[in-house]
Amino acid sequence: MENKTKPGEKGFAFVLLGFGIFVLVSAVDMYRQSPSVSSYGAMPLFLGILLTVFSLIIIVQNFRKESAISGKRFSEQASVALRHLFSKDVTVMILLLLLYSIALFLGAGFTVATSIYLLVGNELPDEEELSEKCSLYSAGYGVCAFGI
Amino acid sequence: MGNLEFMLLPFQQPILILLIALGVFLGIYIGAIPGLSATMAISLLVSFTFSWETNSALAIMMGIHCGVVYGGSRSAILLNIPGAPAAVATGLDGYPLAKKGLAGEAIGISTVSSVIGGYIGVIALAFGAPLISGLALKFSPRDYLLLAFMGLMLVGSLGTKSMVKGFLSAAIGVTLGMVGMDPLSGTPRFTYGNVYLMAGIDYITAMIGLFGVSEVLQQVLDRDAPVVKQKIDRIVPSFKTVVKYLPLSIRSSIVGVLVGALPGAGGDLSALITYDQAKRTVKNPEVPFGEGAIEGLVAPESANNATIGGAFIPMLTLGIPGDAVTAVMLGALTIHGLKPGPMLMTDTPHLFYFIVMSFIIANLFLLIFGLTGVKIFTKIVEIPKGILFPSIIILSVVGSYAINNSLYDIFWMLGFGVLGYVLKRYDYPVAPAVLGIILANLIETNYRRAIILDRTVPKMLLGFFTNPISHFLLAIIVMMFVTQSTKYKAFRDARAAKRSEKSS
Repeated sequence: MENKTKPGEKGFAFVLLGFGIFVLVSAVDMYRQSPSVSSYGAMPLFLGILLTVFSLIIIVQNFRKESAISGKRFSEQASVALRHLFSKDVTVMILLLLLYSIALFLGAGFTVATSIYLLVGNELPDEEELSEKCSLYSAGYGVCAFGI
Repeated sequence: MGNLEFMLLPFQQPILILLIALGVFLGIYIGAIPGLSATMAISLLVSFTFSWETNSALAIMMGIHCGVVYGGSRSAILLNIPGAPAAVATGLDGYPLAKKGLAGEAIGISTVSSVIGGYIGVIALAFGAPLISGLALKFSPRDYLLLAFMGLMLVGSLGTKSMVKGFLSAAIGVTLGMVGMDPLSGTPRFTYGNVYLMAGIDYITAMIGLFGVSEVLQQVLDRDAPVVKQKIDRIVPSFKTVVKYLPLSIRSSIVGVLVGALPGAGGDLSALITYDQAKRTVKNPEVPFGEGAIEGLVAPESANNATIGGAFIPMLTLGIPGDAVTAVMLGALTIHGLKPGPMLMTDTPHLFYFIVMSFIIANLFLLIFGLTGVKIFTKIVEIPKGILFPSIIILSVVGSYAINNSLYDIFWMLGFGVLGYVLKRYDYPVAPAVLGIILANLIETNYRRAIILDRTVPKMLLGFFTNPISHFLLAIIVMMFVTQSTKYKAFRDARAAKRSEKSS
């Protein structure tokens, strides 16, 4: 087992714990409405417990490991973790896909939206070109959506 | 006689043979491109063949399945980057061979081994499935519940760094599978008043996001990796060479079939097991293992293709997918009207025998395409990622839209893509999550049926120890759990260390 966690790995385990607790609370609510082991709330309740327990185990396991960002302030840790997770390339890729989906949703049309996506997306921009490409892309979609 | 007629169906409609050939051809090249896995290819294809006639859709999917599993070996040999997880073991000896300038020979022998493995897998499927299907009729809801857990546990524990992370991923998948109307009473769950969520989360959309989009995002991180140019010479192996390695090929194929037939264990595991087995059993290889031993290519390549046939046995007869790829295939078959489960052989025998014949034809084309077109192949592997990624994204968008003709699904796909990427970034496997979404319905309905039949939880639990089938399944689960525990692994490693000390 590795003895170091990646930046943000410990925090992500807490996010999963939050999800587990959320499922558990919702499931308890369902189970209260129909309290029986064969009811529609039984399996979600079991899953909520599993999610919470597994997340806690991972938190405990992570607690024993060192972190690359331990000792820093929380805001610094969060920023390093976010940068580790969403590097500029990945953020641009997600943003492009989001804009593409929004353009399709707003009725820009598949042919037009896809052409623009391919035009901009075929070469991932460098850091300097990032804002320029994103604005170009948004403007292209805006014009298309407005025109249609 | 009837079964033979079903098997001859592709010959009555030559378009089906063409589709199988096209599938194999595409599969080889998709499988060879690092980052494009079989699961991703098939999950995208499912949405494209959604409105096709059943036989045509099955034909191309079977072709792609065979092609992708084999295709991974090519990039493993030439670039030392396994195109698919099943080709990880192939690279161990394939790449050293390529470095010695023997890439052609390595590709040739891996093609022939894959075809031999593929045919042994088909034979096992043709004869094994009807037998298992008969046995599966005796399964109670409790046994299905155990089987589903077994599948989740295996996918969750094998091939992952942390067993808990695998199980957590599986639990997330099953939870997502619960969203929507309860299958037995119709009560909405986790919908929070949103009408769109009432129908539940479409697992094809989830699959495309978790496997396709997340993979693109992951690959973006190393988009600057240099493209390696390769030179290829003679690739068809001599008859003498094939005969020499035939016993090892057959032996590895049988192991591949058995591993594939276990719910949750796929081609990657069978390839690694047989590689290890070959390393232990082959006494005097011409070249040591790891430095370009032909045996190190023959064993994993035979096994991973034999696994396809093996993995189809539990998927078709029990409705439990053997691995992530068969999980996607299970979804595809359901869309096309097949009901994988014990009644498959009774209700739709024509489709079963058509699948068997498709595999037979696909393996023939695998031999043809595998031994030819290697020069074109090297060009395809060199496609710049700047062109490759947007193309995959567009295929993913079209695929997720095509399922329900809903633009909302594109946003779901994007959400699952980001989720999958984050999970992968922190070493949480995504395959258990997908399997969980698919198996959620099976788990829940069988759990509730079992509870209704046995009335209480203690009685249901007691049933695990009184019914012989449940007994057997429970024993397998316990064994799996024990062999995956860290204590057992430490004990095994210590024993292996002692042995090697003694032998040295």
